[in-house]
Amino acid sequence: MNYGEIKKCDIANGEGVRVTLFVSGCTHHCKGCFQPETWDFSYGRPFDEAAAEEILAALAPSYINGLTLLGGEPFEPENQRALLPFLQEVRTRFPQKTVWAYTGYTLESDLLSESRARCECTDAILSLLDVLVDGEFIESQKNISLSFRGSENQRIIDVKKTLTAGHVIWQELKSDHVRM
Amino acid sequence: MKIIKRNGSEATFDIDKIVAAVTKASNSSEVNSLTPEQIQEIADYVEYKCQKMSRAVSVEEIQDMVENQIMATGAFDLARRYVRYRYQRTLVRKANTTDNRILSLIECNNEEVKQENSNKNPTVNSVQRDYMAGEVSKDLTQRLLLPPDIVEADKQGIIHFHDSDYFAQHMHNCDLVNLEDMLQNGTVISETLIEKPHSFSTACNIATQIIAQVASNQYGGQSISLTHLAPFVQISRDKIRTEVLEEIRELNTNATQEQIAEIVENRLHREITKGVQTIQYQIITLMTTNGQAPFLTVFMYLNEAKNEQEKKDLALIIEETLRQRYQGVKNEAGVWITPAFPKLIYVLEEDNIDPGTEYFYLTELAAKCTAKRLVPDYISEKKMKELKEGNCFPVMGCRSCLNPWKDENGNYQFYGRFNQGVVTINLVDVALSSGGDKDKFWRIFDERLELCHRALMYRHERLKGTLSDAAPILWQYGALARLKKGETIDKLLFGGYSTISLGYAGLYECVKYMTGKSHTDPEATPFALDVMKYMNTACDKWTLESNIKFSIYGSPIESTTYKFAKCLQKRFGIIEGVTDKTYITNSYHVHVSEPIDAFSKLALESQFQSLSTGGAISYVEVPNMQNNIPAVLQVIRFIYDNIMYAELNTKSDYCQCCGFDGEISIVEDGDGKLVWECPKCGNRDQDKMNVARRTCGYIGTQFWNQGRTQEIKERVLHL
Repeated sequence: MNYGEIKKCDIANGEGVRVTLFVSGCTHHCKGCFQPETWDFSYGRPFDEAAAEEILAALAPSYINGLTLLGGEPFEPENQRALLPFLQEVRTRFPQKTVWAYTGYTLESDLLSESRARCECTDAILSLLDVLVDGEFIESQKNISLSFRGSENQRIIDVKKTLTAGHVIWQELKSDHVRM
Repeated sequence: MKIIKRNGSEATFDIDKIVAAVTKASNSSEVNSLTPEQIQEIADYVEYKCQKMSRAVSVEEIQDMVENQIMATGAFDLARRYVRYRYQRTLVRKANTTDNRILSLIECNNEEVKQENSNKNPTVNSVQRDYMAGEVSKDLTQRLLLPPDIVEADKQGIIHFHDSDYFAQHMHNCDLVNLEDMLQNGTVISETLIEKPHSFSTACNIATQIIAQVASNQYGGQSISLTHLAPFVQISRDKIRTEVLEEIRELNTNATQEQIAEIVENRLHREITKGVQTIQYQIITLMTTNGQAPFLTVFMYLNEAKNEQEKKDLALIIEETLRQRYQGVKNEAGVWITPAFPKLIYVLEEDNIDPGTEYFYLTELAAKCTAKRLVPDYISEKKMKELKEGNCFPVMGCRSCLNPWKDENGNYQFYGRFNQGVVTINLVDVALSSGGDKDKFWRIFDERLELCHRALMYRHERLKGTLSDAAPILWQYGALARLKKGETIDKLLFGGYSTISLGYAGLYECVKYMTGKSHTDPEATPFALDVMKYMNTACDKWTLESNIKFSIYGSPIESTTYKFAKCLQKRFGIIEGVTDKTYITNSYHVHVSEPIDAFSKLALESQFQSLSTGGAISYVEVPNMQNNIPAVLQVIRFIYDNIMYAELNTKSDYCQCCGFDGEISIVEDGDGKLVWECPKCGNRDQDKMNVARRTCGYIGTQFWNQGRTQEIKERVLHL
């Protein structure tokens, strides 16, 4: 797997201050994608031991809430295979931090059911996530005022609650809960 | 192309005027007069140089260029005659020194004044009166009150003698108002006795009267603490309770203790709302004799309460203050906007910093309020106590900070104390004057510091002998002291009761020139710290010699940042990364265009803030964060652990066309002009959008000139 960028103080892709990994390769090719260069699986650099260590080190400070996987498409099967052992390492080292992932696939129809995305790693990866933002970016439903997502169709899913309940439960956003 | 005339107004560059002036001088000489072609060449070159400056050049600067060019042509005799001609014209102009400047400001043509203070509107009559007085004061200061070398150094941008528009009067800078003493023991406002108030809302009312009076008797900011209003919550509670019991008796009904308590607390809440509203609205609608709303800072510090009940009551006031600020105020079109005042400071402390602590809910509200309205700013009780002998107290107005001081009984005292004034050293000029030679640098630094020292002593001397009658509210009726009528304020100027501040600006550019690196580079940081320590040593020495407390201060230079930049270009030309901008960096701040994350920036700047004992504030530039309050809380938590005093420059603008609530961006229009554009609907009408940005630590909402807009656009985000 290749990656395009590691952002070490990201506040746009998930709650709190996060480390964000932009993996390379995406087969959705959404119209109006904010970074089409990352569709190419060979874009950027190889995700090697050094890159993994760089992220782990960036996750260490107390002010970092957790990791966000973005892309590209983290749920392309080849990317899942590279990400699974890494996510396991992140979970072991930082049990208190949260993991968010973005996908253009839809949870129920693509990740939990047979599809071009679902592979032997998918369930394991989902079990390591706190939040999944799913759904393709649909330009006609674009809304720049949305929190942490680009178009109205996308959902911010509380993965643990959803998998337990068997139906999609949205993540509660803390910013909505601080009431004036 | 525009130039700035001597009276401050703008005019279009006219090459013919240069040709005419040089021709005149040339014709009056038989030896080495110039040909029309040579004269045209000189004029063309000057035009070219002015264009390259990318800012409006002053007439004086143009004349310097002409002079240099005549000399470069080899016509020395002519150059001499040109200089003589200029000198004579200067003398003629000196005969009436303020007429033109005053007339141009009345006719709203004075560009300098227009750009001077973002909180003052120079087209309004009352503001013009303040500016007229300011012109007279500046003129007296320059001609009569200061020695020529200090005036010259100020003009050259080597130092900045702040607030010369108020220097003619015996006025001090900023302070912490002793509201507690005034409310508890009574005060006198405009010869009227004001006794201890009997309710919270009256206390708020009196507080705003006091603030208005204080603001009109000084030129700098003032701070009050909400803690001083907190005891009146219990007074109101008792009063309301008595009323409620009376009403129940009159109605001949029965009520349980719980019912009574509930009614009392509800009414009390309404009174708190009303009181806080009084302060908020009065402060922004008041206009002081300084031609602006009072520069007020409101301090919110739970641990300052004297007992648990008072702390709970203080929490109620803080909560209401945050709620009302979050809501904002309505502008004339009825749209909720971000008010610039009062500035709010929220103290981070043990019982509000972590989730689960008693007052964490207040910190969450503060974070939400900051995300929307840019305030409150944050003081870490923990860090301040480390630096201030175990004390935590407000800064005075914007950032000026007192030293710990004990009264004759050995008790620390902060309220009622003040700052005598500021003179700022241009660190960039010290560096450039040394040519990069380190030995020379320290030598010149010594000379410049001595110059500042002398200038500061003029400030001090100007205050010495001032009678308490000059400002009764300050000196006689408790805001700063309870002196007798006819008594001088002299004893308050010595022994550390008040401070006097050596300001500094441009540490970044100074270090960049001397070391070739930014002061964030570990190789350059030690030198930057040495510069700070050097100023501390100088202040300590002066303090010992004079028994006056000198402190070093990260000046919030607003228009002075342009003045310094302009002077540096004039004196040293354009040096890449040092003098190539229209502004220089305030205090010890990291350069606005340098990429660095918020946490690294705060951690780095903290070392410098510790050495800026007379005050300084750090900031982080962030995007709209209203949807990510947990991230705001992370920054706040980091401030608590790492730095004494910091603020977040958030972006929460509002488009009146489409209702977009987020960051309105700066784009270039077809003609290369920078304009504001709503990212959602593309609206570019400034009258139909609300934009608030901090510049040099002050919130502005009136939009900015192209130079400042450029600087705002160039700012890198730290998150």
